[in-house]
Amino acid sequence: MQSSLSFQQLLYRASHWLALVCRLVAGVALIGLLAVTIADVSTRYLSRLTEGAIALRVSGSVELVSYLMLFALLAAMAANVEKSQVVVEAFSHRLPQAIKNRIQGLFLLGFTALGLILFVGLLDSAAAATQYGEVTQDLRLPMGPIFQLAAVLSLLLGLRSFMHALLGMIYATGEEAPHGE
Amino acid sequence: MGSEAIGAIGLGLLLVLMILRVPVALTMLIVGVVGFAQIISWDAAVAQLKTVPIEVLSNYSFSAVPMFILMGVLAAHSGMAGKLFDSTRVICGGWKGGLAIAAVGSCGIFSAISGSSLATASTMTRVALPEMERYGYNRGLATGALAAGGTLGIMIPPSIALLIYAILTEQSVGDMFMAGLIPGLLGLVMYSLTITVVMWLRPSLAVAGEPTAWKEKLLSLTGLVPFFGVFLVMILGIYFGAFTPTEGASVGAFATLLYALVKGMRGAQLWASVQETLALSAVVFFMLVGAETLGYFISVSRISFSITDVLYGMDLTPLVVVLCILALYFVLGMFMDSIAMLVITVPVVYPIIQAMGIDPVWFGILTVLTVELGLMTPPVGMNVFVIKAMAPHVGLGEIFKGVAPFVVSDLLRLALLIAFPILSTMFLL
Repeated sequence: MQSSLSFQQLLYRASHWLALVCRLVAGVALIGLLAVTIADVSTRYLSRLTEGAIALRVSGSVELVSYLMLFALLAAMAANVEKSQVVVEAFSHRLPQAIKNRIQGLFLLGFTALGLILFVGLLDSAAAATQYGEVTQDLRLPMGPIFQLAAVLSLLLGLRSFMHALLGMIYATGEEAPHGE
Repeated sequence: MGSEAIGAIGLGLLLVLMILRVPVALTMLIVGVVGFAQIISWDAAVAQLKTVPIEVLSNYSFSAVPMFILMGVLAAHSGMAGKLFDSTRVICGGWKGGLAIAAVGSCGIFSAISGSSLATASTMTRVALPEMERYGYNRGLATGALAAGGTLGIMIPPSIALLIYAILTEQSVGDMFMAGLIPGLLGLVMYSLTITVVMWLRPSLAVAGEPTAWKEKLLSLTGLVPFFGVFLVMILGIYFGAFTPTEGASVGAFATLLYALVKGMRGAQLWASVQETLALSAVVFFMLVGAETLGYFISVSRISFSITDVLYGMDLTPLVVVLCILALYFVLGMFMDSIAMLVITVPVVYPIIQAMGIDPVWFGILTVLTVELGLMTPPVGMNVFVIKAMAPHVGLGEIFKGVAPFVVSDLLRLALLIAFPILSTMFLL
């Protein structure tokens, strides 16, 4: 009983710390995304207002926003995977919460698989990008590190899904948050 | 087995898995990958699974989704909602049932800077319900008005549902937003009329509040300034081409952030708002990843074309087809989350709409309105659940009963929008 309890606590703590890291990455990336877009819009407007006299421009903003969004969302999905699932409660209203949690745990294994497949795919892409010296189209940023960071975040998605799958299936603990729009 | 048959089996499997309580996003992923593998190959299906989620999560157009969510979250936490309700309460609180009308009005205005129905319903319930209870309003009427008012968030631009529909169907986001304006405002007017009619039929449900002088009413309009300010900057900027709708979302979020900072929001609160935004975005993007994967399968299965052929064979007019699809949405809406319903059905239904020559913008508005109805109808009315969570002392049955007149009002609005498509298309860019 004692060892079982400590394993549960270990899973919780590990999940908690990984979530904190993911939230930090996601938060910084989201703020960065907002900052890049605002800088782009305002410098463009300023340039138009001064008829080109002040021609400060944020180059590659679309590219930056795309990659920042990728990091923000992958990290957010990893940090919130256990409470981000919408389920249809058509015929399961009366199931005891413990059974719902065990079922939820089982299905979280699906996201473990998703995270790991993405991880493998992104690692392959990172290796290829590094080998061939691939760079982004506008800013000429090296693609290798971009893919590597995305791969790490995908791995975190897989890991946290697996931890909560275990917590759900073994200990019937879980998050019930079928929310959406 | 033919690809169409695999497509049909896939759609059946989709329903079965969802009934078995498999998360909607995972259901779409499983059916999408397995179905694609059956038609093309497992190697292709796995390769697709490695790339599609990354394409979705780095799709520039989708960057508007987290920004619209951030805007709503900041508006909710910066005290804007409280000031808004104070203003509408002063304007119409003196009428019989006026607080309920004020609540609906506040929801409508709040929707102008929040793309989410659930955010609108929860924020305004927190602010308006205690006031209505203080004046002895019938709980069914009070909560029903809030649940209905909250649904306006899905139609009045900016709307996350309209944005997602636009991206999934490759329509102009600006067009979809402009098309949602009149139907959204019509909803606001019709909900207010519904409250008036309910009060006329059952005057005991609410009392009149303290009357206010005209000067006071005019002064109270200052509470609406931040909302209209942010809304106008965003909508006029998009309309006159100063920035794209995608950039407009960031501009709106930034304007709301500035307001929040001026009103004293600081570090921890701002970080909490960012994290709430990310958590809500994760819910939406898990489903979008699933929907895109499912979309590829639906596309290669050609099931939509088979359905279109069947419909042509039945000699149905486009209007009848639209009515059948909306009836299906109405039923699905009773069980499914609104965004989930959109992302699952649009890849199947949209090719049919295209083949039948139906205006996709008009159809999008009808779809979103029907989806909106699902937020109020039992057994799974998400807005009702949100209000129940915020007001545990009010029975679920009581809220559903209170919402019933607004469902009738929405059906009437739907009929108007079907009969007069110009209501949706008059402001198209």
